[in-house]
Amino acid sequence: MRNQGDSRIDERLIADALTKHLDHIDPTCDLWPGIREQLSQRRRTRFLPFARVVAATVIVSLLALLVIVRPWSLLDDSMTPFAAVAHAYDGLFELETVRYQADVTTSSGNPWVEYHQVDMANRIEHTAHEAVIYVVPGASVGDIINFETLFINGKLYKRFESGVSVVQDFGTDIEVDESSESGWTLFQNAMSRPEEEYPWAPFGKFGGLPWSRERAEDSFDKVEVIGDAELDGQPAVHYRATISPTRENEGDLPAIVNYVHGRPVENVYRGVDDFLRTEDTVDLWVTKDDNRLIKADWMHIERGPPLPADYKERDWCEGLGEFNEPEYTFRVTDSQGNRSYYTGDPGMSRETHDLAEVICWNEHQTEGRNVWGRSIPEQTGEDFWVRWVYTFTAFNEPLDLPEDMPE
Amino acid sequence: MRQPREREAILRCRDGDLAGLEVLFELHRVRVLRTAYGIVGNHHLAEDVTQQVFVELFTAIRRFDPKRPFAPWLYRIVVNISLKELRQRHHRSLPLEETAADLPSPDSPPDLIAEESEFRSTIWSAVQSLSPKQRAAVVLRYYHGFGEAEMAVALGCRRGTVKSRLHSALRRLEALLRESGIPESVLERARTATIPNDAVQP
Repeated sequence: MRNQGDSRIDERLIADALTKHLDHIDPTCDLWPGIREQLSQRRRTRFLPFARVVAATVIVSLLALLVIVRPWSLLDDSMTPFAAVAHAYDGLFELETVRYQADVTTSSGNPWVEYHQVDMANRIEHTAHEAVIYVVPGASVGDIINFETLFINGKLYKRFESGVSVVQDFGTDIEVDESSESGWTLFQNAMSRPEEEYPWAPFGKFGGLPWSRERAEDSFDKVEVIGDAELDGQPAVHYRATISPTRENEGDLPAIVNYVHGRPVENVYRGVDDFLRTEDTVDLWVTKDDNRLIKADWMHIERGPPLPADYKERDWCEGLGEFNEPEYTFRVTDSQGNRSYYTGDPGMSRETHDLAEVICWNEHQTEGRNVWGRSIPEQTGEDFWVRWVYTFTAFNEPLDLPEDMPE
Repeated sequence: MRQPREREAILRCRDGDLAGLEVLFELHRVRVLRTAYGIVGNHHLAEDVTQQVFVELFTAIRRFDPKRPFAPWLYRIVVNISLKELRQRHHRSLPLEETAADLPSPDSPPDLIAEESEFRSTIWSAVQSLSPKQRAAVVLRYYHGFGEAEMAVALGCRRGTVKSRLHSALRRLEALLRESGIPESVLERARTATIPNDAVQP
């Protein structure tokens, strides 16, 4: 927080009060014996041989019973029975897990898939993508997984996607049930989806639901119908959703759009929560026929006064949020046309200490996914925030990289 | 001195040696307890959390990469267990307890004692009025002095989320402090007071 002579409290006051308060907290008793006891209890439970034998016997009996009775034969042919998929839940990291039923084909033939919506960047410390992870028992790197049908929350979606490559074997990075550890492969599909239109366009962070006005109203402060429209020859409804800066949130602001024209735009989503500081509106178009979100425009174009010369880089860079990661490159142009390049956090022009324009691009552009941001600094009174301009509809247009983009 | 001991203890823990855990417990127990207290706001619950943290640590230590900093990883367990406990007990905000921090320091003049004590109590109450996730962010930032990257690991979220969570927490704190009607003179004195700069990392 900046202390700019306004009424805002200095962070040091909070640190001081908290430190003085917490520094007086001490254990009222010796906690170590309790820890030791809990650990030995766990060990006793874990290694009780008799219990293990009984459990193994029960499991084998149940499996035998299943094979004999074959209850899945009672189900629709298109559905595969829900098997006892080993649990990949990691108690430490609390993966948000949704197990769904999918008719998939893998080279190993195991049809069971678990779906994890996790932030891989932090939880598995692997890539910087917020990713969907599928856990497919028996799959290995290089396998092609075909999803033919997909059930989410009881709804059937056909041909969710196909030909997703296993791009990464995380092996044992995530704790899985001991009994199946060797056969588990995790892979992310975030960057390996085929460039084909999906038959449905989900809305929302969960990434699995069709447009729902109800959900949108949960996410935004206001959702209004602007009117009927026609897009690509399809009759559609034009909505406008608004979110205000006063909305109570803990950083988990709604994803505005995860898919536009059926293409993933996760990397646009990333960082949303950082610059939704002012009232923002998103225009959304949803097909009348099948309730698909087909277009979303989210645009801010506002220009603030130049940054003061004594303003430090970090002060305004905070507004850039997620983009302070190495894969993002920034081109900063100042009021005199000087250009500077930054990787990660952009800074002000070194020559003039002001900022006229920031253009950002990332590695995915080179793959043809046009993640395009343009930011203009803005002074809102007490903070400097950088506003971003996103035109989602430009996604299908040819990539327009700056000519002087550094290698 | 602490780091070699800590490193050795971690390695011993990974080998299943309880003595290694005991060393880690001695090194971190107080800070873990205080962090948990900062989040759950209740001493007994914080002690429960502390015990669970070290049990979980011992169970999960093999997944810890010793090349990475230990503290964010450890405090991730603290945060997760604290939040889990709060969820399970449906305690959004547990009753505040008076601590020695609220008691006056004998060396200060009486009027200052009252004001400082009131000010600290007000901030503490305001912190306790935040949501559990916001409290966790505030404690990690302002008690531990964690940077964003460390907080992201400890909170299990992206750096952008760390920023926005802190941002909204601070806004909320400001509003609460304003509502509390704390005298401007106290705020002013607190603003100009000499507070060690290292309380907040850049």
